[in-house]
Amino acid sequence: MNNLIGQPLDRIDGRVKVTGRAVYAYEHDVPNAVYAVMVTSSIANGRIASIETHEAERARSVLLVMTHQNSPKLPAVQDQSETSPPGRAVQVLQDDRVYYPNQPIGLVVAETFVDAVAAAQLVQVQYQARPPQVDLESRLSQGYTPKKSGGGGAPSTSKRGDVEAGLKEADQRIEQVYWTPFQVHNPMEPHATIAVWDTAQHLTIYDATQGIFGARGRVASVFALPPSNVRVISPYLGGGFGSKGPTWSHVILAAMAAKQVNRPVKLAVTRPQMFGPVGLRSQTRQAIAIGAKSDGTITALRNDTASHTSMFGEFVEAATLPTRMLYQSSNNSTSQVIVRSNIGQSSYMRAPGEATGTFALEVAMDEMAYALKMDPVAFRLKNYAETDPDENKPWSSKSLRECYRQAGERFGWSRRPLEARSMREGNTLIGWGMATSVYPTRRSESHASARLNADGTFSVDAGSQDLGTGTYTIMTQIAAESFGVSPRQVRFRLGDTILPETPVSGGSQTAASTGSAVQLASQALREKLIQMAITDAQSPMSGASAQDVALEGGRLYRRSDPAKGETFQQLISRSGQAYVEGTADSKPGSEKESYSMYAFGAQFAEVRVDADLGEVSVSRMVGCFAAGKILNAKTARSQFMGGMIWGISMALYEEAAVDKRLGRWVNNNLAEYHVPVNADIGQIEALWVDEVDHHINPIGAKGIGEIGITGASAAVANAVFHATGKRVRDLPVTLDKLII
Amino acid sequence: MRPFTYTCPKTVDDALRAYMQTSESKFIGGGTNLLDLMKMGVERPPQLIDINKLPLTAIEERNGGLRIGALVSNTAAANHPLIRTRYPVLSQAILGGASPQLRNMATMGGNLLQRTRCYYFYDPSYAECNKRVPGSGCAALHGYNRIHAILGQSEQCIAVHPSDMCVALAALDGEVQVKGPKGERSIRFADFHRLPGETPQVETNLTSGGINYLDRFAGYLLRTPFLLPEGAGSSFVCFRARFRGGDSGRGRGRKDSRSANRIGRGRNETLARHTGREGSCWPETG
Repeated sequence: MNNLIGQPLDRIDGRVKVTGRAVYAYEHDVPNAVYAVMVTSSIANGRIASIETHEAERARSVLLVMTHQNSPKLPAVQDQSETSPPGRAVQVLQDDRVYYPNQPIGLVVAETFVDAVAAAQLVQVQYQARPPQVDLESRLSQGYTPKKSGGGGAPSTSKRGDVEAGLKEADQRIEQVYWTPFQVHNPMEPHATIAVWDTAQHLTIYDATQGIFGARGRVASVFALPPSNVRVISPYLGGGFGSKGPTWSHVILAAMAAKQVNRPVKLAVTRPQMFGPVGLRSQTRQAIAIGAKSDGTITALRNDTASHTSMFGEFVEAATLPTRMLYQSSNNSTSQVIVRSNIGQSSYMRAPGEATGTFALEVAMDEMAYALKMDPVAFRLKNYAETDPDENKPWSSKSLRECYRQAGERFGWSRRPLEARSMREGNTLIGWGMATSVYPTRRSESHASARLNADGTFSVDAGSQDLGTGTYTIMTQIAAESFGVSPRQVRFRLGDTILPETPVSGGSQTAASTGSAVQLASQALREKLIQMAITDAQSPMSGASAQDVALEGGRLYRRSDPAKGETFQQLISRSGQAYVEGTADSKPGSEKESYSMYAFGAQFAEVRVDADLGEVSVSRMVGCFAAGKILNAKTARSQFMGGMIWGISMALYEEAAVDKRLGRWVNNNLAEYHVPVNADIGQIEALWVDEVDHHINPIGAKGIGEIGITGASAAVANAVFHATGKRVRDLPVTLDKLII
Repeated sequence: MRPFTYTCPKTVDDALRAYMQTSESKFIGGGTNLLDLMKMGVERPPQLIDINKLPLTAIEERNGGLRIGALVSNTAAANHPLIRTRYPVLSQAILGGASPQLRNMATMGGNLLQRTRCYYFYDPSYAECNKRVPGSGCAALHGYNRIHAILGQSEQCIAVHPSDMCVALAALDGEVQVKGPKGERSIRFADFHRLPGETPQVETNLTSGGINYLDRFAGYLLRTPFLLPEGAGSSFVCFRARFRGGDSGRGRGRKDSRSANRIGRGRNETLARHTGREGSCWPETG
């Protein structure tokens, strides 16, 4: 089947999801399972002075109350270095120290969920609390420069040219500080795990994870098992967004408890417990300087970012990365410091670094455009980077100009008056803003297998995960097109470590990595079958050239004489094999040395602001993205829109609010931690530019999971300025910041 | 998660008897707030009296006004033709809050008696909350309080009442009819809720004469909570500023209510009405 890739195929998993038959981590029917509930700390810093568990232990059906006083000690987690990456340092009841609010300090296991919850409320904890350290501004001097910055392991500082000299020669200068708030992961499905010890040395984990193989490795190392003794299963996820990339404490706790009670243990992280133990996006403080000549040429660009990490691990919200490479700027410097705070580990959240970094940079760019009295798009085009100015390499492909053009035309940007507060309908101020989107193209080693079974069925396996993004669907399309059957004939499996090894579904790399592996495996199988046919003396295609053999409609035949052919079953049955298999070991080559690889985009937003009250709504938004080959027009559109909508959320609503006296998140539920609902979102349009990029990976996809959020919050904030004349440099843009 | 008994009386008098028999019982209607509070451990009633079988579900005309039963759902009230035409402000206020699912469950009586969403009240792991534990202090006073009261607060409590609907009912000068162990009485809506003052734990004037509302003999059942006077409704419109839209606060529904706003009695007066009550909701969260 040709031209399947790119088609808006309905989700393969759509029907089972809407009919409730898709089984999520917590829902696996494991016989004899018992229920665990975490007890978490109500202080942010200090020690547990005492923890009284007698009453809880005597409560109905309770099997275990585990605290640091009686937990098994795990040597592998006791020597955690202070620079562990997110999810490596776990808090699994090894000592009495409390590093952050909502840290797991106990685990109650009972026969029923209700009993476990009730007993957990009976655990009495006394603390020796110390003042929490959570404020960034007052502790900037305590920050340090990490060795690496961001997921790609880029250096944490960068410098080219002379920024001070560039600022001196500038006709206009913008020097401002921008803030983005703490954001906490709230996918529809909170974290959940079921741990089953099949034998004393064999563990099966049903886990809500974006990386089954990473989870397998982490759990194996903690329990000192060979990875092959651990199986991780994760067929469906209710969203990941980076939260479920690392393996957090609750996974280890579930396995510890299962071993103690000798029963399978189910553990669900509650919504309030999502605020702390399972990753969050750090607040950022970004000091940006831009200098520009009056013709719009940027003479200097600088971003000095500070963000938080935990007391026990290291994560850099690498907001400086877009400043380095997005615009031509011969004088450019960035630095990144992190400050240790009493927070759960800051970690990956959709476009970590780029989402926050494009906010500050793109608002600063808007400020400069106003200072120059230039159209914001024209200002960006004036400084368009034809090659990567940071790495001094050509782009593998870059269609950003086309994105500006298409999105701008669709939006009607040319009708925009430059002046702020110049569009009004009655008491409503209207503003238009735009920003640039950017996200790197990543790829990791990945494996897949494709089998044609003796009964003629076609099955494709790759460990992988589907976060709700459409992995099942695009892999099915890729396999069908690459092998030459219809999507209905493909049985694609993922989400199990018994399948071929694949990377974490993070960094927007699944399509590029595992998509390429599935393509190569399917092609390998096809070639293998053709070879079988032309070398099999009994085949009607015996002796034909490989080019002369077509594979279509469940059979192989000679192109030169289509009557001469046979079915898959006929070919395989003569071979006596149960199946024929094609495999692929797909990994990045040297393309990274030769090319700089990014997806780009442009976003345009219209906001409506009540002139008296400062209420803001985004009435419409248009984004256009260039992300290589688009594999499924329907799931891609959803991905882009989802990113844009989260950008609106980041711009207007989201903030994990901390009581700085207590170091606790006060709005730790979805009633008070605001995310947009359907009624908050106006018209969202996602367009894309089709790119053919032969350099990035075999499938030609750049990844689309994260680019949609980049630039989105800046486009909204810039539109608010255009509507009101008020520049808000700290997110979220709430009404009080506009009326006071 | 604590054991409690459950009873489901068929008459108002049976409900009152059950209430008097067990100290600190709670009536449950839609349960949209009470169940949350029980899960959080804020409310720990030994008995739940399910009043959903009581005959309090009518909306009827009376003396040119309107009488709305305590068990009428928020959805039914907001969509009722008489309320939509005569008291649009009430309909708008109800639709401005919560979500369709919650409004389907929430009752008109329960809406009055829902409790504040102050973070520090809602989570018992915060030691200080005079409303939850009288005398313990107010964590919000110097804590994270940007959603708290700007008018009507006291040193003991700066929480706001979460109801949009109540603001409309106060503006309409409604009346609450209640029945308790000592008989029936009416309370002017504006007098129904109390400012926090020195006793933020006492939220309504359902009890009088300084009797602690937890006193077993002080309970009242909201029988016919709202008596709306004739002709009061048409000159008011719902007016609400907030961080986000929520369900019908945005989109088409919102547009309607905003344009209606312009032909109302004037925003300043409406605002005064809002803020004059219990430091009510401005600005407010959705």
